[in-house]
Amino acid sequence: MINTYQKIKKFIFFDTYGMISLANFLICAVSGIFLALVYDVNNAYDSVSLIMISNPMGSFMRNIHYWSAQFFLIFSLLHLWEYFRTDKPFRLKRGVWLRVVISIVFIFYVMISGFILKADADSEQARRIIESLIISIPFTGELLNFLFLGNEGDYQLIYVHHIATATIFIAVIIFEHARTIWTKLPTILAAIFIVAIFSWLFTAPLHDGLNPIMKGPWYFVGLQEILHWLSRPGYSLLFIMLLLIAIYYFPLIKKPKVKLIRKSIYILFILYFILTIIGYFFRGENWKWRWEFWEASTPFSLNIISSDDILKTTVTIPQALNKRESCLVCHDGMKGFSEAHNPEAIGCVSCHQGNAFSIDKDQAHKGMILIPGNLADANRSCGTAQCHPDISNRIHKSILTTMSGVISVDKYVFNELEKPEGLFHVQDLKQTAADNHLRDLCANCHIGNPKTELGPITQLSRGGGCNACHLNYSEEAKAELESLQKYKPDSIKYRFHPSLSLNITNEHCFGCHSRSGRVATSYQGLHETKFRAKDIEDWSNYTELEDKRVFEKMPEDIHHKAGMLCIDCHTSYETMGDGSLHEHKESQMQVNCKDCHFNGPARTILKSELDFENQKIIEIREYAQNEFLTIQKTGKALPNTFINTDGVAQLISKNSGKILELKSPHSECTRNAHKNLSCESCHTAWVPQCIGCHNSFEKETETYDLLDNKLIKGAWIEYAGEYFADLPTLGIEETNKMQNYIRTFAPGMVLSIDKSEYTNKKEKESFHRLYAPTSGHTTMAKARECKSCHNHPLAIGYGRGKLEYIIQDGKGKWKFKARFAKNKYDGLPEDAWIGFLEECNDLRATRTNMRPFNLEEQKNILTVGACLHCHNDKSTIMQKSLIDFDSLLKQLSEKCILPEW
Amino acid sequence: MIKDHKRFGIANRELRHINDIPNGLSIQDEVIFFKKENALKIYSSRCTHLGCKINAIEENELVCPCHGSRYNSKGEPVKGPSVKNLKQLSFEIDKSTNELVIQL
Repeated sequence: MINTYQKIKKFIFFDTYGMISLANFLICAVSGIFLALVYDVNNAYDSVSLIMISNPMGSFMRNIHYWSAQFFLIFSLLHLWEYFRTDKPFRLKRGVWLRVVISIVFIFYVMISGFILKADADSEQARRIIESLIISIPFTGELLNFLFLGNEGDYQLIYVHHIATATIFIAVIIFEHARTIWTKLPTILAAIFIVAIFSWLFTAPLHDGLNPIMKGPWYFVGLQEILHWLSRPGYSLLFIMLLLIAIYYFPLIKKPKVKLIRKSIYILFILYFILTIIGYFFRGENWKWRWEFWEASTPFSLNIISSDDILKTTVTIPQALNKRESCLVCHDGMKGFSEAHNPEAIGCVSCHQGNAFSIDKDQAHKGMILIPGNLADANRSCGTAQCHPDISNRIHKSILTTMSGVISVDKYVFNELEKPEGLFHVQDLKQTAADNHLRDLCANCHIGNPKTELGPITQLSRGGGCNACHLNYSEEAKAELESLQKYKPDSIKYRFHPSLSLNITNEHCFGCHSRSGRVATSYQGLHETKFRAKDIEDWSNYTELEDKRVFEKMPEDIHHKAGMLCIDCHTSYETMGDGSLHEHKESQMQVNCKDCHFNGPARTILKSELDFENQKIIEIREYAQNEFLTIQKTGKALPNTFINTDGVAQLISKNSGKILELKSPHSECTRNAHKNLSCESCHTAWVPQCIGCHNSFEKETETYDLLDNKLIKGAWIEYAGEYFADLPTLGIEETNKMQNYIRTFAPGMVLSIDKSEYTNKKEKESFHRLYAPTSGHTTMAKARECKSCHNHPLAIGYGRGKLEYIIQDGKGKWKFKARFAKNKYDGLPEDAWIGFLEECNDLRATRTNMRPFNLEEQKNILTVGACLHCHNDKSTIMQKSLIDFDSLLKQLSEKCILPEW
Repeated sequence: MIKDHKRFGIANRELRHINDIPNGLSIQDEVIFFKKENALKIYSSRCTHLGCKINAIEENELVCPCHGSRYNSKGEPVKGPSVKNLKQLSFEIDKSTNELVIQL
């Protein structure tokens, strides 16, 4: 056993450490000469990247230079250790030993200067760190920095020291203490063989300027870890200085203490080795912990030199963002990009990552992101510091990403929260009953849901990060994609790239927003039914979506009819967020009907005062206007609205360029009686409504976990009741200013839940009757009639049925007969929000600041309803009532009979 | 002491107005902008710990890639190892060219 170990050791360490070190020094020096022929100190990074891409032999020689240098360092340190570990008498004179100790500094200098000379992002940071450390040396710091590093950004002095000063010094020291500068032939041949193997297998690193991970050379990664703990890093220099002094005095120390010092150095070495492993494998972006060992960022990759054919036909290696990109050698002439994303400007690596310094396909594609733009890797694609970092920060907080409101309301109905409030994030869902329910039914409708397959955004798409809104395939790109799916990828040369642009269509929003509140379908005038295609014979009034749901045709939104898109109202700050976290969607929403439909002077902002994002939007969309309307809530511009030369407010539909006039609200809208009514309260034609929903868990049923994207056992089954498309119910939002604001509501969470099979406990079914604030997106120009609110049970919250004002014996009384049976849990009709003339004290809305009308408010509404029982809503008296109803009540005629309660 | 003057174009175009700079924190070459409403502050992107170039913004904080120091929008260190504020740079707008002139 021991013999075998000795044999292996002898095979690996074929000569003394000193001689192996010397052999590597010689290889390094000779390969350095070859490298110097193609290295350009004035365009250092460019010349190194060109060597890697277009000069296979040069690249190989660079690897030889790199690997021989690493082995030289390792074996020099082992050689030094040999002096420490033997008890043999020290043979070197003190002067020679002093120079050997100084040469340690030069060895590290020649190594780090080589690292700096590749002039990539790692090198730049390393140079800055070393510069800071040297300058922190008292009195001489500035001078030493000038002598060793020279001026910032200038590599000339470092280059001279690297190839001459330091190298010559080391050579002299080697000769002085070894009495030779040559090794035995077998030693140098063996060293060449090993270095060549490493050089063939592992490419010397070069940072692409985009990878956010910044690391020094491996031998300083341990130091980087130490420095990360030190607020005053200058002390590390003091420690290094003391270590060098200790090394110098070591041979003079007498025997009993030698063992202790030897042990101490050994322990220090082990500690540094551990720190190096930590720094190298377990530190990632911004020096944060990265435990995934298999993802450790090893800078080496297999290098197969097989690119001669391509290079013979390639004249120049294209540049993008001031660096070479080998990708463009093969993927040249691609079309379809938006101007900002043209590869001639930003290359391929900015979005797709991969290796820009290799002409070999496998090597170049290593680490590539096939579909960039997903939020998980947004910071390495769309959100890099050079591109859209501010949006990347915002989008992570957008409610489109967090789903905060959906989660808090669901948790509340599952009795996991006391109130439907708080900030939540879909990625934080665990496995509570509510979490599991969301995973089963809702958790894919968020922007963070990754897009994993190529192809355009369709009705079936969910999420996809930046792609969700900005990805578009041209017809050519679609056709090419279809061919690529039929034939082998290499058989066709890619020509058409999908574009990422501001061309956001309603189809982009459709996938997610055709569900739940269903604003996307309602906007187009489509109402979901429970039919299946087989049930429909005459399709003239129906349509089938890609997910096989059948929708009935209803009146479309007036804005849709006018050709407006979702993005014509909803701005970038509404959709991608304003940088703050929001509990519910209405908090993130900014635009209001009144921003476009106003009386009096317009609130405007000049082009020169616009924020950067809106300026950019206006620039890309080529709007020539100078003055834009603003959103009252934020003061930011609605970048597609403006005041024309005649002083008329207009809107440009963003994609079509169609100009629409912005109309002022009707005079009735602004009269006293309805001043606290939202525009939607009167102008919503219909909202989709669903009642009588029951949820239970089935342990053995297979389902799809929408968050983790995998099949699991145990599904939540939703038994939906009836679907309606009716006028919305009205209710109250209590605003911060303690004002009551009337807005539209629809049954949001009127449902019972049986979670006993999920929790494995016998639990009573829970029931909630929560209405949710809704924005119908079915705007009609004409307002709903007075009676549709004041005399309508659904509008007031009683549900469907017959609401009658009965006058008998000179007395008036309101009576209500519900259409639906009483719910077994709370005794109210299935579709009701409140009981008839009920004072409701419990939470009945999905927001704590919203509620149905209280008893007094119901009486007020019904009192007007009593008037409307006799008076036409267009009558003078009713028109007058809009201005001052209370004074009219004091002038009642004998015929007027007000309700008794 | 003024070491150098540098003129900056924003996003490869001429800087026409202070509003050409995005709101909040943004990094441009060697400097960091912090713009809130119409107030602008400019910091050096050199980390005060060991001089690394700060090149990332996370959660409205500037992050140094080398050793993980974090600074808030006032340039104050909020997470180690750095303990000193970022250097604030003075600047002016050259009215003849409409460029931002920053004293590095």
